[in-house]
Order: sequence, then C-alpha cells, then structure tokens
Amino acid sequence: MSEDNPLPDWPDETEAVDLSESSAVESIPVAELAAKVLDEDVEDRRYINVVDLLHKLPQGPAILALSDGVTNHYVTSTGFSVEGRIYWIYYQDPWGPKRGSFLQKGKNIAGVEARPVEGKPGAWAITHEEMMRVLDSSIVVDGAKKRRGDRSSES
Amino acid sequence: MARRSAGAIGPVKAEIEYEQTSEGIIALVSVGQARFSFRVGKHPTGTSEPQGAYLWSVEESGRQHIVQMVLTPVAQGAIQSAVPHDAILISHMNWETEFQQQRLGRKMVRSGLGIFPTGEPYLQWSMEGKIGGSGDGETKATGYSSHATTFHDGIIVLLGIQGLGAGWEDPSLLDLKCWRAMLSLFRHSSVLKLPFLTPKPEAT
Repeated sequence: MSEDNPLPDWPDETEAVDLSESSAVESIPVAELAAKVLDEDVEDRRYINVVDLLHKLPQGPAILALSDGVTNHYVTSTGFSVEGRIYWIYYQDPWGPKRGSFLQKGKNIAGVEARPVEGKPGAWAITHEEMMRVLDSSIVVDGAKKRRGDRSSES
Repeated sequence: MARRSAGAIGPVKAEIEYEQTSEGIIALVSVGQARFSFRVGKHPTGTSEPQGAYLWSVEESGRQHIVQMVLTPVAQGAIQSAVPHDAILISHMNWETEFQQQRLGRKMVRSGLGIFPTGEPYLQWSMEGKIGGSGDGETKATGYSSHATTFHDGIIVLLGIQGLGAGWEDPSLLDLKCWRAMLSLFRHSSVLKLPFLTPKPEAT
C-alpha cells in the first residue's frame, strides 16, 4: 500500500492476511436471492453483491462493471485480502500506469480513493465499503484460470 | 428461556464495545479467546440482555427490527474431536429449531449452508410461527425470523433478526438483514491460520 494512504487502524492483535480459496461447501445463493428484495434495502444488497464478488475471485479474475452515477468504467479484479474489518479488493485498471485509475481520488464522483499497490504498476486497491458505492455487476473470466479440480488432477 | 444443548455449555457473557463506522454501528465482542465484530445496524435505539441473549433494537430503511446475539461455548471434547465445524453447527441448528418447535410451536421453513469469503462455514435458517407479546399498543414482532450461526474459537455465535411492526411483508427482507449481519462478522485473533491461495495482483 502507498505510504500516502495508510491503512486504517484496528484494535490490537489483528494481522493482515491473504485469504483462502472457498471450501468445497456450496454457498447459499445470497446474491441471487438479495436481487429479489425491495430497492429500499439497496445498501444491504450492495454489501451482499460485494461479498458475492469475493466468493467469485478465488475462481479467477473478474471483470467489474463500475459506475459513480455518471461515468461507467470496467476494470479487472484479481484478488482480495483482509485487514481488521476491511476487505481490500485489488484490480487492474485498463487506463494503465501512466493515466492512473478511474477510482483514484478526484477522478470519480463517488468519493472513492483507490490506493496504488506498491511494486505492482497498474494495480490498485479499494475497500469493500468503497466497492459498495461503485460496483454494478461482476463476471468471472471463464477459463482464465484453471479451476481447483483441474489443478489437483495435474499433480 | 433456558438454553442448553448436547456438548454445549452456555450461554456466556461477553464484553462488548461499539464503534461508529460509515457502515453503521459495529459491535466488538470479546468472550474468552474469541474476538469478533459484526455490524449491528445504522441506528440502534437500545440494547438489552435478557436470559443470556443480547438484543439490539434497530431502525433502518424505514423499518424496525431486533438483532439478537447468543453465544454458546462448545465443550472442549467436542472441539478437540474430529467432528467438522459445520457438523457442530448443523447439530446446534437442529437442537435450536427442535427446541423452538416443541416449546413455541414454531417451525423451520428454510435452511442453507453458506461460507464466508474467508472460507469458514455458517448456517442460515428461518423460523415461522406465532411470537409472544401481543398486548395492545405493543409493536408486534413478525412471526417470521431469520437466524445464522457460525463457529469461532470454541464459541457458537448465533445472530437472529426479528422484524418489528409493519414493512416486513416480504420475509426475504429479514433473510437479507440476517445475511448482512452474519457476513459482516469478522474474526479477530492474534494468529490467523489461513492458507495463502488468493490470486495476487500482478504487474501488467
């Protein structure tokens, strides 16, 4: 993470970790069911949609359709980690390292402030709360990464 | 209501602190070695602790609901056995739902096994049936309620959502609130033993 944007503090004894792949347990379709409820609970739905994205990411990169209410944009998310109560979601912006990212401070009107990932040109990270403000939909890039079953059969 | 189940001792008391965040009020819960937090809601208006269950009254999205938390420690022998944690959760859910059916005449109408993004399992189930407290002038609780449990450091954490008053005609709304509460639960401990398998961002 950039030193200009220090990560928020969390009470003692908490470490940042990378996350495991989803277990073999089949998940209940929370996002599918959440889509059926009333629009007035839009914040709950947005949270569920972001969690649904986190469930997808161990399968491979996902294309994210983003919007700040005025501008639409697409990025590719590559993974996430957790720190305290925050899921950090990583993505590559097609604008490239020179132009920066649509989700950088001042380049969107949703108030999102993406942090560059050190040593990873073109890679950015935002919190799950920020993602709730801009995520419209997501789709896993099919075949971009072999599924777990395929990998285990290779060994 | 006394609560007990095979292999479990409980309920237990917890130390709870609160933190205001952009997502709403977060409860920071400590009980023994177990430390976790979850989102209570935007506007909690009160809290109580009757008979071992922590209750918060919350106003959100123009409706009222109750958030319930019950913490049940599992006997050490059960934790050390080879029984998977999801099996412990399912056993606890079976006891809880049978208890409610026998004592309160309520029945389970739906259940499912879910996973956190971190890979840990949780169970979600819904109950239907009459709830007490039907005096005139009272804000009536919905007959439908949604519950979810997970297992953390020897503690079964049960979160429940019960609607209050009008606006809960669609039961899915209560399930959504329950998922949101459970999926907002973060485990905090000094040692987090998770495999490192998530794809890392790579340079283009």
